[in-house]
Amino acid sequence: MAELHIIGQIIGASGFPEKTLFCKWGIHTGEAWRLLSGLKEGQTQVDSPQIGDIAYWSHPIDLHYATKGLQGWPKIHLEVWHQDSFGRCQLYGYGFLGDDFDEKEGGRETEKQSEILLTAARHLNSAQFTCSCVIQRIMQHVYRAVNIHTSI
Amino acid sequence: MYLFYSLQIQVGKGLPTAEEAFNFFTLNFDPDPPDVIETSSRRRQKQRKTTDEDEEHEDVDEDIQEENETQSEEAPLVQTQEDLFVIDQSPQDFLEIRKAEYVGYQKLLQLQSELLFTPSFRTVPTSIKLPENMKPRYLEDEGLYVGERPPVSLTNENILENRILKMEEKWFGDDGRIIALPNPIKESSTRPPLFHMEEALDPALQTVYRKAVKSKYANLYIAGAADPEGDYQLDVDVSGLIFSHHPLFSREHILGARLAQLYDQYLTRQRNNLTGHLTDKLNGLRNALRNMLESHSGLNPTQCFSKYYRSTRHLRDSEQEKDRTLLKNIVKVWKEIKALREFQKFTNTPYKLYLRRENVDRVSDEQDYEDEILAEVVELEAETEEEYQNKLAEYKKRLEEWKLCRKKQDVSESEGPTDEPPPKPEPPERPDLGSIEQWVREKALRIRRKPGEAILIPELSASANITASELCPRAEKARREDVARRSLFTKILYNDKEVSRTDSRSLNTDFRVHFGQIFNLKIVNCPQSISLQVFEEIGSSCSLLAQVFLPVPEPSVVTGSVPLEEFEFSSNQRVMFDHEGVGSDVPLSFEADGSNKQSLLTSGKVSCCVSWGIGDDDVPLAPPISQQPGGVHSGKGHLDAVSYIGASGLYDMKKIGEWAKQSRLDPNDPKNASIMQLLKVASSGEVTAPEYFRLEHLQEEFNFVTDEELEKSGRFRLLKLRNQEVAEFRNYKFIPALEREVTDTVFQEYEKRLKEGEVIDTKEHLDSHRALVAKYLQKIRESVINRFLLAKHHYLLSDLVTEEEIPTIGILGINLFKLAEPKRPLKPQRKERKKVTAQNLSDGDIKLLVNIIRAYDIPVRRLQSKHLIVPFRAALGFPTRYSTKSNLILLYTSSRVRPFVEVSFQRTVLQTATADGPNPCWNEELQLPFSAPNGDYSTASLQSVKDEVFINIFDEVVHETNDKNRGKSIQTHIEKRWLGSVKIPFSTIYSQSKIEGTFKVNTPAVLLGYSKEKSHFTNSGFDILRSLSEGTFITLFITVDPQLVPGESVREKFDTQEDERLLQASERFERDAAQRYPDRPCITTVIDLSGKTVFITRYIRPLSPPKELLDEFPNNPLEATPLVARFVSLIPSLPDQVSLSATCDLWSTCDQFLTLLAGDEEEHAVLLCNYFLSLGKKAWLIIGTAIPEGPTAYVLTLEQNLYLIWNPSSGQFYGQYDTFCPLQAVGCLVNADNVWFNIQQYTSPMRVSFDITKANLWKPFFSRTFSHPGLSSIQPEELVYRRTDRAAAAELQDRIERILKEKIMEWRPRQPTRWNRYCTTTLKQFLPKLELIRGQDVAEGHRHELQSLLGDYRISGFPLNLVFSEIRPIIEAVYSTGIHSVQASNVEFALAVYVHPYPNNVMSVWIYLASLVLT
Repeated sequence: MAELHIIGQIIGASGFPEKTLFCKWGIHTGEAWRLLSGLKEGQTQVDSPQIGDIAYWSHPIDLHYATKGLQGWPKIHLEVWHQDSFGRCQLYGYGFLGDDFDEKEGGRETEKQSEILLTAARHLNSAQFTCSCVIQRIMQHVYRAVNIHTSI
Repeated sequence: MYLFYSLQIQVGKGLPTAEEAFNFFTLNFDPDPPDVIETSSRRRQKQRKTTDEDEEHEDVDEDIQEENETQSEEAPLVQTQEDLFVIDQSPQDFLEIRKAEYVGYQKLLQLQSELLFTPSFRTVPTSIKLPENMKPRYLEDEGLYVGERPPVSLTNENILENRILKMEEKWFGDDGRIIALPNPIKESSTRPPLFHMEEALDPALQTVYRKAVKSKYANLYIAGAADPEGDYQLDVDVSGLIFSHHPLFSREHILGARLAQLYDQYLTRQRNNLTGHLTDKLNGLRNALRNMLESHSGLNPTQCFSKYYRSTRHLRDSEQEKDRTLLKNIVKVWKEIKALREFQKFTNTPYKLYLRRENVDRVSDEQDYEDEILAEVVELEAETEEEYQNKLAEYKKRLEEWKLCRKKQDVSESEGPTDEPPPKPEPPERPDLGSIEQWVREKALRIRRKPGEAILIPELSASANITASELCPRAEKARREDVARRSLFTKILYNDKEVSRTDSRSLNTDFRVHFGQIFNLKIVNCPQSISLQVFEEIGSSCSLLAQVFLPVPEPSVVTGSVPLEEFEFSSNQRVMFDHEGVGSDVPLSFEADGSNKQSLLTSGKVSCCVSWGIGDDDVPLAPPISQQPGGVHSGKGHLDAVSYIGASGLYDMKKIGEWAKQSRLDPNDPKNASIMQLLKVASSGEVTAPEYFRLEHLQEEFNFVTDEELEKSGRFRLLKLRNQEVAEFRNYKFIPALEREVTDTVFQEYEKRLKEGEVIDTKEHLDSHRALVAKYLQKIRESVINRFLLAKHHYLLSDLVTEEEIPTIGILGINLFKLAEPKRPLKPQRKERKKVTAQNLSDGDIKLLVNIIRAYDIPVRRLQSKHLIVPFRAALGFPTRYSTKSNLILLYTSSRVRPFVEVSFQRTVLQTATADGPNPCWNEELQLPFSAPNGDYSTASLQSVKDEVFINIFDEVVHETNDKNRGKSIQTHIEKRWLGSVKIPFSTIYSQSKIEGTFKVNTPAVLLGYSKEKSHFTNSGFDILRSLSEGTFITLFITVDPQLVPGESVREKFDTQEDERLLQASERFERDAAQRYPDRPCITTVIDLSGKTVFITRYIRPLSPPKELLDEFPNNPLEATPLVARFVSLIPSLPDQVSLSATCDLWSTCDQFLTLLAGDEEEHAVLLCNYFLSLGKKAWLIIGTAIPEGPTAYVLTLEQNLYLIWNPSSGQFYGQYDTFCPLQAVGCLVNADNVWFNIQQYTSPMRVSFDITKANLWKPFFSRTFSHPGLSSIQPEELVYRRTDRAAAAELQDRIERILKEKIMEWRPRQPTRWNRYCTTTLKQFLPKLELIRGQDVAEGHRHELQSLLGDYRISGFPLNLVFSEIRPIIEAVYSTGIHSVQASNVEFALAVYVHPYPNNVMSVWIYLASLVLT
């Protein structure tokens, strides 16, 4: 039995056309993973920075998973939204952080959409995200495999 | 000592080492040599023996001595007490010195052999290892697969076998050897050996650093192409092309091509030699059949075989026929060519056909031929005969049927025609055996060589001379010129994009083009299609002739290993020429009469091959298999099987089959099980991908724990439950990190609760109705709790960010001014205590401070004299002064009560010192520790603390009894007698943060042995006011240290049906009120039981009280008022905050309240107010604060210009100017029409004017600007009451009595509990009377009666009146009086219970407790 702690925060975003931003996030796992505690999805507050370009959220993420297998490592997906002065929300970009929490770009849609998404993905590059994993008590024979995943 | 020993040994051996020498001189040890000690101890033993004898110790057992004699070594040195204290004994006397025990090696071995089993290493005979009467069976000899066993040395194996035999376990296989898995060790190492640690590594094994590079291609590209240099290479070899028809063909060319084609066909047939093969087979079968017929005369088993034989013969015949036609055709085409050449007088093609004859021996050939025919004829005859017999049998059968049918019809003819008669079966014709032979002969003539005829072998050569152009006619010349002008090239298209093209080559006269070019394609995309386009060039213009699609090669197909393949192509272009060229898609005929027209299309063959290139190091430059489109999605079984045996890349099933055949896989080898399975499936032709789709299809294989284990884990369960905030686990701080530290007991309570959720336990509740109500309440509670748990996670900014207020100049100025203030130590000012937030508290931090200041009017003991009868007059109704007093008694009062106060809270009991007199002053502070449930000090948890602070006043009575046995001494008994109590719930203290004031003590209506006295010696002015009210009072100050921040109300928006405008107005009204008078409660909207916001005035509506209550006073409805109030007060009280664990007040309507039979002050007040309204009184709801309840609701009535304030929970009423009215502040008044907020200067009811018409004193909610919108009431029109069953009440009464008696006996485990029956029956008579007068006062007569009856008993006791909700509070109330703790030996008890039923199951419970001591 192995346990995984995901502790981190969504720091903020910059480089979008507007500065008033918030972020929706969620963590997806394979079917072998069980959430023990913590919230696996959420939404940050809207930050409208008066100084600087970066909208800071500093939104904490704290999850505790148990797993019976190694496939389907948690992935986090982020959506950056803009809220305008009328309270309307608009999607500005989205992206995935893959199973080793290495950054990857999303988008496999139709041609028309992918153009929007590409710009979106470019913006999302500037959404910062820190995360650390703590792995507890992996059984001996799978220990090496886990190391491969987390040493990145 | 030990050291000394070793030293001795060393010395004996030789010189000491330096270290030993050092030790010798520096260490402080006893120099006594061991033999000296030995002797001295022995000596002492002897001495002791003698002393034993001398002193004649009879107590010393003789067997001890014997023991000493036998085991003198182990005997204790000190035998007697005296020896221990002999002074002149040295430390050696207490030590026992023994030699180190040594057991000889042989002896040790012997001992061990007894204990241990050492398996022998001799070979075990096979017969022992196998079950009896069984021979060893060698599977390998039987041809079954047996894996290679791992090498074990023979000795070890023998030892193991011997051991297993001893253990008697089944570990031996059929061959008498230990069952073993095949050797898992691979023959060769999978890693390259690294022998040269220091030297330079083999360059091939040198590690190369490569920077991680992201895939630069999208998913369309081959993933994993991490190495930009090593892209994949596809080699396309275009060798050349041959036209089988071209528009420029002349007629001769066509025939020539046909001839070549036929000849090719002939060659392949010849090579395969199917005819010969089939003939051999036929002969073999024939022989076998003959043998079979000879050996078995039966027919049936051979039927199947003969059928097979027959089909083989048919096959052979058709093949023979084909051979023969082919040969004929070749000859025919050649003849045509020759005719054509002669006709046109020139030759265009180089083909020349020779027919080689092979002569045969005519005689033997004929013989063979005849034999063959005869054999066939015989066989055919037999077959036809058999067939005929079969048919005949069937015919007979059918004839029988037909006859039967016929008969039936004859019988049933009279009934009319029913069925058409089945036609009469025809008898089968007898086959003509004579014609068979003729038929066979014809056939043989047609398909076989004539006997004796030479065998013809055609040979085609291209040796004919082509006539030169000059000699040809003009049309032919033009054709040849046209051919010469044309040239061809091919384009290579990869994924429909041109990547390369061959050189242009001119068309030869033989219509063959040779390119001989190889193209190396470096690819990054996955190959989707590879095609060649053949172009024809005439001059500068070129046209597409045809397109050839080439298959994408398998990854195992690499350059050099693949032969050229020919791909056919054709084009349906129509081309016509005016010269000899026949064109394409043009009908033409070779017959003279123009019949049998054919139209030929341009067609041909391209010979080329596609393969994967090979890199420098012989690595195929092919993409990995998984990237190969197609063939991958065939399920995991497929993948596994192939990759397991290391034959990756073999995707073609046929190839796998071939490979399996070649490599001679052992079908029994378990390693090959999967591939065998695969081949079996493949050969049956059903290789289909599984029909399901799975994301993680290898999940099962990689699991290291099963689902069940994961579910079973206690730790995970605990974590999950804590996360879900289940009540039992919500406040778990630490969850053990190890599974074994989580005990099952943790879950027991939770599981029990889950189990009990469905079952309603009626036993615990004494009353089934109440049990149901309790369940219902529990459900409401849970749903509300869940809502609040959700709401708790909605945070505001202020919850997360605490910003210290920046001090302004004003505040700074005040602080500075304070410094200059004169210090006045004698007038200390109250300092604001620091508030502590709940989360950083732990056990022991919180203390409850109870300051008991003083008490008034405590009842005093009555003199135990028969002569003094105290006249006592009851006062009914409104409080009045006591009119007459007995002066005699007054003399004794001051010393006749010694009260002390006992405070109990959370099982801690503290008491004050004992004071003297009915108006004692203690002024004592008691500190009681507080611990929150589960160690959870969160606001929600603290609010839900249900504990109450019990403040009991006792009288300390000292008895002096003369013990008759002892005579002189006097024993003093201290006895405490309960006088009254005050209960304050902790939730009130928590929400109020402090409670200060004078409280009325709940005293029993009658206190046996005590009387209420009026002190005449008090002279303070306060007493005048106090005397207005009767009863005992106590002044208290209670607070919590440190001060806790009370929880805020939940900010959740509830659904509502109210008008939006009304809600806004009410919000504004409340906000204004809170701003101007923050300490005055103001409520305009409340939440009902379903969680909806309701305007408060909707709750007020006149509702008639139960008829029974009014019937008691038919003449004067005003008299019924106190009875109605009592009825309301008898409904059990249950604060919402405690039950719902949040600062949310739920208001139930009156019918809900009466059904639930539980509610807090608001419900009581609303019900009482509604009753009063129906009685025709002017009544309002007062929203205010009271002690000890805190914010609460009271009822105000106007009677004869006098305002009365009713406490709905106790049924008491107070005048407006009553000092001891618990109501402290009036916030607002509510009736059905309006809400008025108090905007007067004061809040105390004494100083408030209740005239609501004055707008400057009371601010109305509905005014002229915002008129009452006509809100309908949510109360029912009428309340329905059920009469309570008297029998049920009587039963309840008995049960309570029985339980209480048991409990009292239980509380007195050490003393016998005697019950005075006589007293009990007397007491029982009082109780209904007490209920009748509602416990207001008691008729003195009864007491005197009791007193006179009991005579010599010293009696103390009291009746308790309780509201019935559950049995537990009753038991607790009885326990808290401490009546059971009377220590006197001759005490007797009396207990009487009376339950008075009111409508709707409202019960008033009276318990009369008394203790009697015989004086």
